[in-house]
Amino acid sequence: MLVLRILVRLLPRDFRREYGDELLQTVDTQWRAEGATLPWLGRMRFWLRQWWALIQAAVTLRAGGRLLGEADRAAAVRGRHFEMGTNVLTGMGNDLRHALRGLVTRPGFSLVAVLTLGLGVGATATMFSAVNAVLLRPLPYQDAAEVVVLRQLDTRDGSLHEGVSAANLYDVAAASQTLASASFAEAHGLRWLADGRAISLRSWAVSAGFFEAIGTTPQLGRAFLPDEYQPGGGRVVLVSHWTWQSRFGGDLRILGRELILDGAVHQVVGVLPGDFQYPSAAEIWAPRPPQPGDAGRRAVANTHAIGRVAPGFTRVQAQRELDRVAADLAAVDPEANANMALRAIPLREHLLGDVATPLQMLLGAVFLVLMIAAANVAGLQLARGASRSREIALRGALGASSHRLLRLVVLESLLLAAAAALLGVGLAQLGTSLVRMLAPASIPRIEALRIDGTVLAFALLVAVASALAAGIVPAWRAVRPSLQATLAAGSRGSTRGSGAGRLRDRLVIAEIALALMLLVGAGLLVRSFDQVLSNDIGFETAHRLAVQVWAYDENHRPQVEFFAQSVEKITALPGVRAVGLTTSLPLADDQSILSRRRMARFTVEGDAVGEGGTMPVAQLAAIDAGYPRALGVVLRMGRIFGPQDHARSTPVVLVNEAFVRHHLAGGEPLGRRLHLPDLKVPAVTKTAMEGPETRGAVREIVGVLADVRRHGFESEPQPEIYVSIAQAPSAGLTFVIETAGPPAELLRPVQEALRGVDPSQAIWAARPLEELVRERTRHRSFTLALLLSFAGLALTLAAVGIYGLMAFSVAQRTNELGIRRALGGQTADILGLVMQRGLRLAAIGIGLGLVGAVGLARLLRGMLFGVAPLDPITFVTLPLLVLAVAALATFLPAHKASRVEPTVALRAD
Amino acid sequence: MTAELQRRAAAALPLTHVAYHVLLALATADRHGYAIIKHVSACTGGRVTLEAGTLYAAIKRMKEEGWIGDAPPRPGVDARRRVYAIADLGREVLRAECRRLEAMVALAHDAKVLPDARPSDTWPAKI
Repeated sequence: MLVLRILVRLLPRDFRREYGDELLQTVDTQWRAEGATLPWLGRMRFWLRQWWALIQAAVTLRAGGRLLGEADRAAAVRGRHFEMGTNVLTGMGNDLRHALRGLVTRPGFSLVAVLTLGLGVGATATMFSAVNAVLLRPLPYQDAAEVVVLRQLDTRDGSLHEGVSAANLYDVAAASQTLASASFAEAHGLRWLADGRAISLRSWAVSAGFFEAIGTTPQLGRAFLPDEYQPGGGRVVLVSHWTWQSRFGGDLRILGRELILDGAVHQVVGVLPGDFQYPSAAEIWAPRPPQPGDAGRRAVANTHAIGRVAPGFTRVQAQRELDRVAADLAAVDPEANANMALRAIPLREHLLGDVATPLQMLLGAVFLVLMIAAANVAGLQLARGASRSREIALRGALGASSHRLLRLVVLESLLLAAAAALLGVGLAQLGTSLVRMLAPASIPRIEALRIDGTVLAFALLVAVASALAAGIVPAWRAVRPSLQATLAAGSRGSTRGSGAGRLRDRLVIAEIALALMLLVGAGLLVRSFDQVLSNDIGFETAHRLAVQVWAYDENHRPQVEFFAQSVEKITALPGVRAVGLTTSLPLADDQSILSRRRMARFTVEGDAVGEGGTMPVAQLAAIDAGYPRALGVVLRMGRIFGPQDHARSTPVVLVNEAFVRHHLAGGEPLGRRLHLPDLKVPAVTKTAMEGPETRGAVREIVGVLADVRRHGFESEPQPEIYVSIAQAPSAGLTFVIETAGPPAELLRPVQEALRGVDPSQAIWAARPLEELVRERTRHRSFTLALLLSFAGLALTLAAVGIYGLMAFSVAQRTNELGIRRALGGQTADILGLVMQRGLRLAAIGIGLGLVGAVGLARLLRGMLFGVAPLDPITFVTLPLLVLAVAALATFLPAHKASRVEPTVALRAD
Repeated sequence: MTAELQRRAAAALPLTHVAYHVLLALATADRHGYAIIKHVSACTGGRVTLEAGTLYAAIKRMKEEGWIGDAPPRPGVDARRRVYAIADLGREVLRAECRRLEAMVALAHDAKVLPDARPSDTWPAKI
């Protein structure tokens, strides 16, 4: 009965008033007399039939369907129930024609509405396609939700290492019950000798169980066999899909093909799927057997470790077990593992966690723009509704039911939506290519950004929803008022104070508020960017070229002679001002130039060892004598390395200012001696990614270099220790070349010079430092560029909104203004009158917008740099800007109003 | 007057089955809503049941068309219940519909669709 009472509300009001109670009473009587005695199925049927009949009656009464027979048609012809006859479809077709005509005969309105909505839809679809490509698409791994990334955590400062050290990971894999498999991948450079020329191939050396853990099987051939992960287990590799296609022309005979990698023959056993790029894009995946050096390097957690949670266990259980395993590992090697914890991070969070927030923020911002666009169109509809109210009232008087009229307006909205969606998708096509261009390479999967079915459906949905939202309320207002009143009111109607007018005011206020919010958000990011760029990075980036090379012999020993000769050759090239060498280039992005970060434990001689026997750590890099000058790093104290610091002389180090501040309490650094136990361990390992290798464990500080912001403008300088390459040779070095002209022009001569020294050497990566800087700030410039354009769009739309409102209201009040003029109203008075109203709306909008902006600023806090969320400059200038724009948008109609000629105005009606 | 009624009645044909049954129910007696439902159900052996929503939508329309009206209040009848009565136009509509149906059935007999054939002269020359 309750349902029926609710359904009764569907019936037209006049019917409900006359028969509603009686209807319910009759059903009640019938229920008591017959229904209650029925079996449960019969009872159910009784109610279902009653409900259905009521719904049908409501539809028929409202839409004008067949009730009595031919009498209905006769009534229709007399125009008493509905306009066009009983066939609903015929009515629809008529309405569609009508709606189309309504739009075409008002080209101004239609054009502005479609443009406005199209812009909103286009911007929204663009951002949605980015979010879809990056965040929403499933990861290309089987049961990716079960995959966790394993990382070592330093419990002293809460810093996460890249992964887990090899020896620790082997122990985790052996001990764990909750992880079905645990494995790691190690960055690895391979020199491929093809047709007598060397090419550096990016590759990953992966430990046993890697492909099971990530959930990928080769698309061609097979994965590695268990034996192949053992030392001496055979030289086999998997190649990437890209390599197979680009380097081997997609030849199916790739399986079994032999490649000469690092001077040894390797056999290709499989091709990985096209979308497989874990831990990052590379060409070769090779097995990584346990190595004798692993055990001594438990603190070096720079591998990419992953695990797969075993069936029947959860990630939380796996984490709990990892906590126990970490405690056991601390007992195995207290020196390395004392302050170590293990963390299992969901793969999705690891890959997308950093980009999710900015993307979601931008999607939110773009929705605000869409809301402004919809509000604008709603405002236009209201203005149209006011001028159309007579037409609608006339139709009503001629027999069109209010629902019929409503349907007409809905159809108009849908037509607008269709046009806006079309325009929006076109704009999104442009937008997505723009986003692809601007997006930092660090956003995973952004290259997959495109307009697909999902995006199309989304654009259509957004267009329809916003067009309906913009159309329905004004339509309701246009249809609802008593017909007589509207007809009687004639054309003298002033919107001021009327319901529609108030609603329009509110829409404009909302637009201004939303636009201000976006502007403040963008403003805060602009200020942050400014702050970021004003940081001193500590070295020069202009006219600097970085070239990374791996040079080692068959026994993986660094080719010291090669580097020495290369420096000489490059220095002699025309256009080269200075050349230096380093193991770890600041700003290295790991996408092209590998950063080769290495932390080294140390104690300062004469200092007590820290609590628990743990040692402090510092960044370790090996440099040569030319490096400080070539990179423009200032020497603060003492000397740099020189020819006197060779392999057999006293081992010395340089430190940076941060090291002096943190570890020497600002005291005299020169002459102090550091004990560096990690440098004792000889690097006998297959991979060429080893750090400096040295014999000296105790080294004297001979100089202090200025701080550099190794990870870009936003990073803080960390304590660093520099050793001399002569005293700690390394196979992987980056040439830093200061050039006279554009650095890219030197790439080819440098390449020739290197070949001249050793034809079998290949360049791993070469990048101008300025590009690396841009890459570092790209995530900021990307968010900033998008947010700025959204804010600009929002402000423009809001300005159009307020202009439209004021122009319309002036047009409506021409009569009144004319009378004022006739009665002696001065130009300034009328100007003031109109301006006052516009500015009042703007002021309210700004007030509300500021409240919203405070909330938004809090959300943005994570993206701000050197700027308070309530930055006074932003919060004062931008409201003023909005006020100025609003004033300009109001002034134009106000100016026109002040020029109204009394005679013209009065004649107009 | 009668000719006018006949003309208007003919224009309303054919009737929906709801309209037909309601008119038929009211042709025998003035009834309130539930009584109509009960009567229709009883006459048709339960094969036709009207739901309240359908009934009242039809009642509203029929009153607008002038086929039925409110019956004058009578002693002994629950005053809270509205009782409906058939109007002259309604009776004429019903009659016309019955003649139409009769003619249709006659056609079926002519076509030997039904067993006992009847003379076709029952077909009215003019409705």
